[in-house]
Amino acid sequence: MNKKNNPLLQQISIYIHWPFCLSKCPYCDFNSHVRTNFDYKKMISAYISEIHSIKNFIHDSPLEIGSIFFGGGTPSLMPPKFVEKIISTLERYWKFSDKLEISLEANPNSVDLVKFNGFKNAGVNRLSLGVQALNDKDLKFLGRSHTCNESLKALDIASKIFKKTSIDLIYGRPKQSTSDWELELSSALKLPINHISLYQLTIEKGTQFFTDARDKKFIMPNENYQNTMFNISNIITEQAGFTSYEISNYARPNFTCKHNLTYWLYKPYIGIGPGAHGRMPAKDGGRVATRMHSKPETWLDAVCSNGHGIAQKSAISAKERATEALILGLRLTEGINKKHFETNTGVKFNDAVIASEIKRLEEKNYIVNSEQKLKLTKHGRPLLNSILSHIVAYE
Amino acid sequence: MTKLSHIRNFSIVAHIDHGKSTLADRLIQVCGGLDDREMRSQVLDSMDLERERGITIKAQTVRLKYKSKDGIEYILNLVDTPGHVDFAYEVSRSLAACEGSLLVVDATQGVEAQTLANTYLAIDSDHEIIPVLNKIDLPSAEPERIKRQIDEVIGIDSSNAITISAKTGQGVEFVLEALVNRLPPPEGDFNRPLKAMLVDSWYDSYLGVVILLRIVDGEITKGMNIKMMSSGNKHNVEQVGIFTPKTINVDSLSAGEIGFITASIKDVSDCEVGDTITNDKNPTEEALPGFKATQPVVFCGLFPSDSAEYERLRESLSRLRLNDSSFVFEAESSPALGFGFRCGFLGLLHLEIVQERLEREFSLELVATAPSVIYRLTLTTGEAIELHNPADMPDPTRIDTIEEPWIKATIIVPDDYLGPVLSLCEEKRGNQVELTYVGNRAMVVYNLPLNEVVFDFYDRLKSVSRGYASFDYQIENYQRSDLVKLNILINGESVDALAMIVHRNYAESRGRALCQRLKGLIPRQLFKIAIQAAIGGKVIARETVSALRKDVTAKCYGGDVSRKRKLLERQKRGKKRMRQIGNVEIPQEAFLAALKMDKE
Repeated sequence: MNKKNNPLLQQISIYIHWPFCLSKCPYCDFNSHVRTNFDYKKMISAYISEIHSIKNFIHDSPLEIGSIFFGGGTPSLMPPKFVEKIISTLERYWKFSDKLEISLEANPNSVDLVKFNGFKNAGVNRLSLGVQALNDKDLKFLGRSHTCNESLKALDIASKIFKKTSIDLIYGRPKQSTSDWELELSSALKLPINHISLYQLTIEKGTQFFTDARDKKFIMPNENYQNTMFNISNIITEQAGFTSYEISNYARPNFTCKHNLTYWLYKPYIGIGPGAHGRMPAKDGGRVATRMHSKPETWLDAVCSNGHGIAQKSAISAKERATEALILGLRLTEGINKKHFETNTGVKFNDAVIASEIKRLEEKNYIVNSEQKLKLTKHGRPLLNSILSHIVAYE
Repeated sequence: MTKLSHIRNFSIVAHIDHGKSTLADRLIQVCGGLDDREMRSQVLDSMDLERERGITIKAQTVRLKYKSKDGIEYILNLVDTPGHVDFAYEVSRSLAACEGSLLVVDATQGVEAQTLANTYLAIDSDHEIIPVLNKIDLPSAEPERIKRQIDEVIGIDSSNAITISAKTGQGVEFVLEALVNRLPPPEGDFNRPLKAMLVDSWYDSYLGVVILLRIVDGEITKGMNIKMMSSGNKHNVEQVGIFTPKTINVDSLSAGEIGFITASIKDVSDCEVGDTITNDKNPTEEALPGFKATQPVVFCGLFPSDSAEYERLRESLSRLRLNDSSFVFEAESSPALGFGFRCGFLGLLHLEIVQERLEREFSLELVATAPSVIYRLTLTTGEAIELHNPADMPDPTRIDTIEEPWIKATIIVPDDYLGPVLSLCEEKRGNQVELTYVGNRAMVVYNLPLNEVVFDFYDRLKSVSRGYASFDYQIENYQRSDLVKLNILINGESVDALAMIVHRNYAESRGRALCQRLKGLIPRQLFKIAIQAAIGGKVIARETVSALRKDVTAKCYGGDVSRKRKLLERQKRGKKRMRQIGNVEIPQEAFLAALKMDKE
């Protein structure tokens, strides 16, 4: 295989969704399913078929894979040889970038630890561990099946195997004080990691927490409190040498998540597996949105009869591309590079935003607008949603 | 042609729920107007709204045949009148079509304010009044006490009142006999030129405008060319008929009779209640007395929630007006609410009915501004103007005097609740005219500024009396008053839709209450929002909505950006439905709720 970087090649990312979990966490509204009996053998061949079919949907221009991400669900439940099979199938169809990043999300359960070497041998070079909290009481509240010690142990092993390690933490939990969070985050930053994602606990419809919160089984911290925690997170991570490069993501220099940057920079990606979303490159330079069937059984049946599990496939209009690129791009601390924006969406930057609102928000110190870039200030970042609703021109 | 001596024309005066419609149903049934199969409850209230709210909006008539004990078959014409003060003029015209009334009083409840007002209208029309005590079958009925009340409060002899139960039918035959024996037959001359009174009219999608009329003199026939005496407009009669309540065509209607005609009239505004109809070829010399062109009393702005619905609102208003010429509308534009209409109504109930019909029958979503009355202004130049909309109030320096309409309100209330009712009237700038006790109930008469009554008086009265107070009013006169325009400013910009005219002494408290209420209704935004109440340039109240601090999803969606995009698109569409005042977005609910003040 030729692994030399070719500047003419368009880079693409691959997202692989493994939809199974051992148990459903009460806050989770992702496409995850608990199954005791499932024909996993059939499953793996379905992934292979789907990759094959998708390959044929994409036009002929040469592509290079820049990142692969195994997400879920709990992809660490996959046998390493499945992971290997998927990676080798991808490699059969597309060129791999020599800086290829292959991430896999893992739960710190003891059962999965033994597979870490197997994942590495399959090609995985970045492990993201779902630690979520560093005390057992909150882990129990969050419905996690692991303890804090198991997390530390898993991380210790992972850091010896993988060059890049990341953890997820959920903050803004009921009864969590700001000083609790300061301590917890500070100790997390001392762990052997070079990347951290800090997600705020949100109550989503259809989850157990939604019902519980409605029934007042717990009280969520208020907006001011959450905002303070957000600010604290930014300060503490910075002191520990992590750069906040996106609203909820922090990395040591050169350890940003290449895969997630694909989304935020609005570069094309392919989604494989139940419930996966894709933004595939279209011939005209635009994007084709794909969404796979969510339920594993439905997806599997669809792949068996059609070769793929696509539930919806639609062209994304130029205006929609522009809006999506704004939603995603402004999450980045760097903001949006207007030239890249125009290349990626085919829309003039100034057409996609409302100039008068930009000016007004700039005067109020919410955003910085230069010739090359539009970005949020520190002051504006916690208000991204409202700011978007002001500046986005298309609806 | 029916002999005059064999005709009796009557109406029924009653308070809501005292059994008017049930009695009407029973009379129709006994006289065989409908068989049991056709009978349904409250036959005469044909609009859903009428049946639901227990009120009559349009007059209806029924011709009944009754064979009396004297062996003669009589024609009994029941004119069912609208039963609300807003329609006092319409009621007076319906009553003018009859010679007598049944005064129906609930024997468990007694006389209410509305009964009183309508009875006086009936007395003014020289009616013979037959008191009827209904619901006599209920254990809580107290006929003797209620009779005394009729004597004392209304001042009519109740010694020969008839006790009935419209529900069971008990005593209904005595009512029929009393109609025949105690009411005078109509007067009129068949040989004179046609003179008929227009009792009511409505638009029927098959027949065009249907006119309900009472023939005073002469005869109306199919094919006759008739003339409306107020406008001089002429029409050719296509159909002459009666309601039994089934529609039955007849060849003619003559002196003393009540029925309907159609004459391919397109617009009810050409059919004003109380107008005199005559034969164009052989006209009567004199119109009937008492005709008044309808005058709106209460005004408000109606705006579509969705500005794209403006044209549909215009069409709907025009269509409603086909049936109800007593409300008026003209285009209005407001910086806050966009394009809409300034509408005039006969009263608050009328306003509510029109608004409800627009929402129900035409599926429109509306934003209504605070109801306002007509102020009479004299400018320093000496020019006199009428002000229908607070937003149009001239600069105070240009105003010499302002006058506002006052009403005479009659409230009947159980004495347990008298205290709160009196303080409410005082709070509303009222002057007590009269206070009479009748048993355990009090009748209070107050002079009140209409401006205060349209604000929230009904709701407050209902709540302080637990719904036991009944209320009626008539416009009394105009009086000079110290009124000011209260402006609401959002971030320094005045919001026309929230402007109101209030008495100077109340401006501050009302301004403060409104600011507080708005604070709770305007969602926090990227910027701090100042809400101020001001009179002229002087700020009298202020509230602040602090800026939003956190509004971001610190969460990863695994590449599903469609969901976020759709959310944002929906949010942007939602913003479109908000009203933009300067840089502040105000949800419509804020306007609606802000106008319903003092309810807490």
